[in-house]
Amino acid sequence: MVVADGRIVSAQISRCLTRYSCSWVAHLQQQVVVRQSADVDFVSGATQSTNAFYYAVVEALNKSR
Amino acid sequence: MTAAFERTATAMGTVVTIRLVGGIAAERPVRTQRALDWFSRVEACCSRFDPSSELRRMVHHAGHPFAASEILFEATRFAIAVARASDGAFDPTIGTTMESRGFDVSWQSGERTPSRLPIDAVVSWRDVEIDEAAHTITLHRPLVLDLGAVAKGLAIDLAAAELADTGNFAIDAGGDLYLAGHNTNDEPWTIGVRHPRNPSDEVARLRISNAAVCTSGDYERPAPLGDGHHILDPRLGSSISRVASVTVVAPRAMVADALATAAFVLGPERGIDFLEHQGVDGMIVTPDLARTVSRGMRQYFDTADVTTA
Repeated sequence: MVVADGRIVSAQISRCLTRYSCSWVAHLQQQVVVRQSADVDFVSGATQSTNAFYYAVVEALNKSR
Repeated sequence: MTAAFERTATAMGTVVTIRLVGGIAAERPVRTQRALDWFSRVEACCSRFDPSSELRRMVHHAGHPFAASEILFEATRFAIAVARASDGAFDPTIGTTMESRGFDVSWQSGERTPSRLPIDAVVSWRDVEIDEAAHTITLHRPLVLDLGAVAKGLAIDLAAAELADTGNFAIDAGGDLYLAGHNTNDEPWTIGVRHPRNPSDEVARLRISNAAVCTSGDYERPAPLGDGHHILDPRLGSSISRVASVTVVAPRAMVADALATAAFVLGPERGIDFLEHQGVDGMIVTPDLARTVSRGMRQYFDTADVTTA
């Protein structure tokens, strides 16, 4: 995230983070046993990564002061 | 397997992803960008956190008709209609109450941007007058609208309209979704509904084509000040504790998002009745993970969703 003069200039998100944090892969393995099906296309409901994004932005902005 | 094109951007304090399946390769970047542009356009009109947004400028016109832009007018008109239909369980005039609970920080500047209106003033959706003919909004008292549950849905719907002729695509705005056509496997889109207590698990798995899926959860935004989360009972000014999440499937994201918020406030039984009465389907999950579903909801459950067996 690039912050200049207290405003976000750009925010890049790694492809991994836009859907699941990388550490989720282990959980998903377990889930497949329960669900007996492959990965989903999308998740409805704010995911860990979207919530994490919001708080990461606020934190980055606070640090930039 | 059809190739997909995906682009992610940040808007409205969240992450927006658009995925196109198929289509003309050369056109996909431009089409996707045009769809994403709707999010910043709606945000410029409807943000409660930007003192220069049209919504915030309208506060200074309280008592007088305000000639609103198409976007602000539509979002407000729809929010007031849901408030009336839900008898105030959904009420977009809770802006100052939200501010008093610490929901006044702009995600773009990190600044607190309160309206400085008195928080103890009793206002309701009845203080907002919509004049369809004149295309104006009149705030009969100084109040701040919170269009959070409506504006993101509206942006998704406008982006979906922009992409309509491409056939197969998905829009994900922080877990609020619109799914058109089919996925890369030529099947309806597979949608997991987030488990409200365990973010890496699901409480249901759905198969969706040409519909919006929106989930309101108590896990989304904890209140910066005091207890609770971001979904308030407008009539009590406090968070709801009987519901953990509500998922709604509807033809439009604006409808799904607003009705999910209203059903959240109404609770498991009345919430489902309300959704059925409004002609949409949904599922309410309680904190002890009991699921209540509308009559038509089961048609969307994936066969791999063993919890419905």
